[in-house]
Amino acid sequence: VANPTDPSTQVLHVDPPTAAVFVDRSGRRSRRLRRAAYWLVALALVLLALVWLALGLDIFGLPAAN
Amino acid sequence: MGVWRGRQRLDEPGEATGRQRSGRRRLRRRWVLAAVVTFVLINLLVVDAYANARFTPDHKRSDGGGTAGVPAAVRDDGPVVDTRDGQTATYHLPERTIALTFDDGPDPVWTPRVMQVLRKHGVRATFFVIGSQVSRHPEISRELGREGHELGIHTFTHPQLADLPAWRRRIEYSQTRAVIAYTTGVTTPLARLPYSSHVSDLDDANWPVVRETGQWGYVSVFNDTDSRDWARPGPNVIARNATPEDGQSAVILFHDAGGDRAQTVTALDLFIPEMKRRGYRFTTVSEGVRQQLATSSTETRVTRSELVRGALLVWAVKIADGTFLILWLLLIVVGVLTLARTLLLFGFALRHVRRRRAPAWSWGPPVPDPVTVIVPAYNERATIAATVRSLATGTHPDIEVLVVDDESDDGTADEIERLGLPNVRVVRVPAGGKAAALNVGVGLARHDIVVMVDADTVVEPNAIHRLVQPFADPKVGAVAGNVKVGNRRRLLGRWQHIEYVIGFNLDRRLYDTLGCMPTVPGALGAFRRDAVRQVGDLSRATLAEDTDLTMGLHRAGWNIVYEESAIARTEAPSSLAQLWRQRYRWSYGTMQAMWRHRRALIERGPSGRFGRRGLPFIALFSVALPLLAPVLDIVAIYGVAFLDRVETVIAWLAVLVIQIVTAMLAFRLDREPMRPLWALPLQQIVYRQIMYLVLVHSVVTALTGGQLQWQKLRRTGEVAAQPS
Repeated sequence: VANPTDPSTQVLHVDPPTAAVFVDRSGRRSRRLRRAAYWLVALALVLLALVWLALGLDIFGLPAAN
Repeated sequence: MGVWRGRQRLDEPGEATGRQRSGRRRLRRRWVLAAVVTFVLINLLVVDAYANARFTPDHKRSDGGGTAGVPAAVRDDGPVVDTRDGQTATYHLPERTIALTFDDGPDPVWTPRVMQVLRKHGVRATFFVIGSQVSRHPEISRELGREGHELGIHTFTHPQLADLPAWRRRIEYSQTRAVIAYTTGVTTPLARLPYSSHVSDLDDANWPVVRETGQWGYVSVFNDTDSRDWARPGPNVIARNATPEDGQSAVILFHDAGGDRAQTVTALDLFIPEMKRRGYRFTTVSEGVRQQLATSSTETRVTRSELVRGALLVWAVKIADGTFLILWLLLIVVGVLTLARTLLLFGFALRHVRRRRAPAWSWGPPVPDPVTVIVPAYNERATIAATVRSLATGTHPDIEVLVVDDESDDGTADEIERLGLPNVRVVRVPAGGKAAALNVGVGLARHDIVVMVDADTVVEPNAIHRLVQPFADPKVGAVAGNVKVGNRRRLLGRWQHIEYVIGFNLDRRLYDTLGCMPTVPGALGAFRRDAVRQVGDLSRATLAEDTDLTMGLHRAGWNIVYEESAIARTEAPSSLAQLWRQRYRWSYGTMQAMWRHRRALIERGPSGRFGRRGLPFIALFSVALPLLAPVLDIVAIYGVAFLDRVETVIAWLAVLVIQIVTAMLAFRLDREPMRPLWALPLQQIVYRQIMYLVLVHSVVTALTGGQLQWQKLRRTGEVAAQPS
């Protein structure tokens, strides 16, 4: 049988007086940065794909000077 | 040292699984993002290498062999060779006509100066431009077009075309044509082969290239006279070289890029009026042969796809060049910082050693005051007995060891009680993390001097006594001990040993001299209890509670010093994964502590002194320098692939030598055997990369506001098992 706990001896939980540095519990900052990073990376990938596509066209289907 | 968040321990199975899953997902996303960014960077560097002719350096020239395959009608005739439509025709300019041609531009310095002379004399010319240069200076190409000059193709990267495969030759032409079309809105099919001169110099290697050029719709342009301005023989000689025989027409070769072209500019200013005086007229190549080329137009229409391709190329080259320039600048910053750090370390560390080892050196009267040693512990059964025994049997006159058991469930407390040492107390507290456990220890300590020691650390018998001696100086608030890696039999341990010896014997001596010690290590540090109380005990706001406390003490006006003779051996992570976790927490915690104390930068008094001297120093050498370290590896790989390999390897070895010399000094100062230093070159290949990736990871976590938890490291008990 478990011993009944005397409420007066229960551990008090006190939140730290200072919030953890950098931590954004809402996750908003992380979401925004993630979206920005995804957009930037996607843009870079699209541009790269276009550059390599143009190069591929040059190599395999070269438009002549005339 | 439980894994906790707020009041909750996270190593309870159900709780942990959900969080671990989401953590793993986030980590996977970050790795994918890092891989994509690396991929983009590699692509940009490849584009940069291509645009700078680093795949096939333009100085590589092959022997063209004989001339038997070149038709005599071509070799003996005009400089304009048209091999389009399967025919071969050559053309001269009309009599007393000159077409000035300029190769290798546009150049931001010399092309405008050449244009200025041409403008002054009302002359138009033909510029055979290099595509990559057009991409870099599109405004000059536009200006050439606006002033009525003609642009011809001189390839994209100026290679020896005969040495290239057909597909490379093809893109050298089409890409240059595209960037000309994009920058000027017009184009001509005129092309000039790099390294070409008079048609009589055409050889068997280059003749097929000329024919192929025609098949692709381009007209090859050679020259009648070569000014040889590249040799810089003087303006008069250049003008004389360029002068055609009396009355004859001439396509004349000059250069508007590729070096100092001042002589070319002066020579033009002499040559043009003189030729005009002799009755010559000046024209462009196309206009000069227009009558003869009547059947096939020299002007071609710019297509939309060509404009798009041109725009993509121009921007790709610009961005790639910009990326490389940034890398280069960062490399210089890294070089300067590394050199500055090395000089500072050498200068200040040696000064520190001289002062401390001087016969007259003393902290003051001996400090025999009683000491409470606080050992926070969470599931440390493998190591705790050795730690506590080494502390409790120390040579200091009165040592109380207080173990704060952070709700261990592996019998840590039983292990201590089994030792039966009279001066050891164990306090069991609800799980709250290391900072909370230490605060309990500070609160329950019976003495005014407290020493904090990690539960995986074994101290030397006199370590505590040596550690507290600086308290003879009433201004000293905390003392950092000399912590060494105990488990250094394996490579990973040896690497950390080298790092610790450098960190403790050079960095800490430097910080001590400058009065801005950033961290009294949790593994071995002594504090005045009042000082700790004064700054509000240890905070849970950061994961580097020792750094946070040290900075707080600085700001409160206490001196923090280093006592190198107080030696402890700690157990370093024994696997890469454990090392990653530990360093991730350290670097994240250090950044948290710096940010938390950022106001010190603008405050007055001791806080301001620490803020303006210590914080920038720590930010520069502990955060910025390691963050920029990847630049060294990126440039090294680029150098080996595309630049001078020997020079690159020498530069890399020079950095290694600096590190070896630094490490040797640190080992010598610490009287450590040099043998483990053989592992230092290997450290450059795995360990260093892990260190900066960890830092990058921490920075990303800080920026995104992610929360990092204390991670329990697995103990092997190797250090505890060693004889003391």
